[in-house]
Amino acid sequence: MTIERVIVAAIVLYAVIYLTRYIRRSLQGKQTGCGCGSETGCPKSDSTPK
Amino acid sequence: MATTLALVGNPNVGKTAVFNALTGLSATTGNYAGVTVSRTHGTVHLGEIKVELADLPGTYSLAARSPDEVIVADVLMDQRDDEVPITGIIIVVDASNLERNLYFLSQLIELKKPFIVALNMMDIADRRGIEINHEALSKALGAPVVPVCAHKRQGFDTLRKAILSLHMGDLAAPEFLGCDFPESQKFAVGELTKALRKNEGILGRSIPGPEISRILIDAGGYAEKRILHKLGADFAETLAICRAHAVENGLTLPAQEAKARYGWVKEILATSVTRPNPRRRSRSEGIDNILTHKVFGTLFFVTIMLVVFQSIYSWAGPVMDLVDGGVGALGGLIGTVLPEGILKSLLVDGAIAGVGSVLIFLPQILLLSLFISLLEDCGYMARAAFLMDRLLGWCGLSGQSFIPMLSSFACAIPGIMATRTIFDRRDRFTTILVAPLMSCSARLPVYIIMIGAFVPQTKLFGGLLTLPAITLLVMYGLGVAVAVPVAWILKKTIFRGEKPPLILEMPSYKMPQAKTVFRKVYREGKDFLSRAGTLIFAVTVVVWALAYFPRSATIAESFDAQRAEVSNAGLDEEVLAERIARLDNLEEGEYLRNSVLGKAGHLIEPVFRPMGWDWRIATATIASFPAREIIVATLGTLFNMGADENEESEGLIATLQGATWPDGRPLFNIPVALSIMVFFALCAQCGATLITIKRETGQWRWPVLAFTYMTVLAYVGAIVTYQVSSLILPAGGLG
Repeated sequence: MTIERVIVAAIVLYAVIYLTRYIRRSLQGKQTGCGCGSETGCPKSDSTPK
Repeated sequence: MATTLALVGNPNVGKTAVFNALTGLSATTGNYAGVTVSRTHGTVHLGEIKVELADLPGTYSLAARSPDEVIVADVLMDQRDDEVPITGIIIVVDASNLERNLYFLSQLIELKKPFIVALNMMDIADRRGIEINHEALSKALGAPVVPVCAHKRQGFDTLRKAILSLHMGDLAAPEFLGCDFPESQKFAVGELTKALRKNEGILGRSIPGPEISRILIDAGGYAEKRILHKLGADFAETLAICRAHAVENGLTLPAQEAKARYGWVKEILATSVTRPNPRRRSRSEGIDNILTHKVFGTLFFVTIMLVVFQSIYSWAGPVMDLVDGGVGALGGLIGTVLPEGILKSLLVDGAIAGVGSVLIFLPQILLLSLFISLLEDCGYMARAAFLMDRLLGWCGLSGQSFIPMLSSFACAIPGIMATRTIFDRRDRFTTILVAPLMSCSARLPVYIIMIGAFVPQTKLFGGLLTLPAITLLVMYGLGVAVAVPVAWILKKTIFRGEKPPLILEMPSYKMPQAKTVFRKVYREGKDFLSRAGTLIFAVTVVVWALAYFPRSATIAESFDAQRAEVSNAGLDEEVLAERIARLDNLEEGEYLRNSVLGKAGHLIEPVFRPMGWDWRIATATIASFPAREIIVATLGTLFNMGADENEESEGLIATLQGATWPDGRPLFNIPVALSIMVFFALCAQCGATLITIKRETGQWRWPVLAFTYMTVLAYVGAIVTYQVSSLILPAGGLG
């Protein structure tokens, strides 16, 4: 019973940490949410010319 | 020194196909202009030697106006801090349309960098009877000209050899360019150069020659704006004087430039290209007479869309049942292996019910992606954009906005990025704000589940179409139908301005390539599965935890007492089992109502009651604001946790059909299903899209505006849909 609770607590903790990271990364613009069509990584922000 | 080459060319000449062939990567390609809107980097391996290659967006000229053209001009003129300087250029040209392609080349030569010409689409040129003497062309240009056929991967050994020569320093930048610019223009460029040199301190950089030409020629262009932004109104006067001096024979500066450059192009082509006389009408032009026709073209467009949506229903069904059966069997297996308790509830009611509910929609997502990829790759999308120019013209937008909107049917993020091809800022921002209204693939599961459960399978047109397929088409059309008035309002208020003219290049029709289509479908499927295994799983677990805790001891004691009472009542075995099962379900329902999520859900329920929703639908909707496909997983978890035991093994559709209000009335009916679909069609439930809007517009107010107007529209739309359809349609029951 205790092991069961420990496993559940670990899964829930993982989910909470994942979601927190997801939101943080999204706000930093690192997470695009779906494929950007490039295998070489999502494009850089193109708004900073010299 | 490391070699970094830029891969450039006009839109839709096959640059990305050349890039993929050279680097072995698989960047997205498509048979329409504007697929590449940002830089993609790769490495060309020439034995031990590595050459960096940057695939740049397509452009017709260095006269940058749209954001994607600005990227190209800046990278080629080494004006970006975040890019290493370009040491050479590979220009991909369309062999069947050399005149226009060489215009751009004439500007590139002025950059004084060594270059290689990749003569692509030789097969189309052959079909049209165009003969190109590539050796003569190479001699005239002073650079290697390599015929290639990118989609058949032909000619790449020679192209690699040319790249190696460039890397080894065997290719020099051509010294001579014979464009015959008027003396007055050359003088004005010299005067402007002197004026800019004096201001280098303020500008913080030295302006390259080709950029000075752009400042002079492109009135209102990006190069001018950037300079005036730093040097102010005083310099505007200097610029005006230079422009006045540059004009000769009453021609405008752009006209002078076009005359000089096309004159040079004509001379080059005279020595290297032979065309059939008279010009043959191409097969594509023949097909376009029908597909871009006002009536027949529109009819074809509607028919093709109907076929797509009917196929999604007809073909995906069996595979969907298979996945559903697999998910059910897995839940059953874990259910029998694990003892009753918290872990079993998490895995069966939470993870499997939630993630499994989403997974069964993989076949539909893949089919939709397959159809979109086929239409993109054969060249039909540009025709659809041409047809849509009329519709979008009503709201002040042009067909140019259609390609980004069309891309948004797969996902709004690449759609919003595709607006970089729109040069008018007001049009670009309007398109960005309406693009999320297009029904992306994440909305498809919501539509399928609601339509599958509550729209009757009525056959129409002699069984060719079914009511669910037409309903699905209507849901997809709703986004466009709402986008038109929203864009109209935006164009009449904050983005007031004229409708820009549509300049659209019709690519040649070609057979879709299996590899390209497969790659797109695979990528879509991979994205969907990876989200199901990460984000959706995580949300499902959190929703389960919030719906499971706290487990009140009082409820447990109360139901234990009732069970004991029933057990001692002397009932026969069958009736006793039924009573106990009912008490178990009531207990689960009581736990759910008293959980954190249950209490919060009841708190917000009144806000959603006018739409006919209970707290579970409301909670699932709120939970799906970060990503809308979460709704299905959350509904799967919430309704499974409160479901009757005999429903547990059935799919989500059956569970929803059996869901009731506390007084026993069916919870779902056609009006509720319609209101849910309308809400999801119009609401901005996608954090990633809002972040992309911020990134592309550079300001938070635009994602805030998009979120606000779409949420209000969704809320009002769902209430109106529920109230009106409740009056029209028979109450309660299933369709």
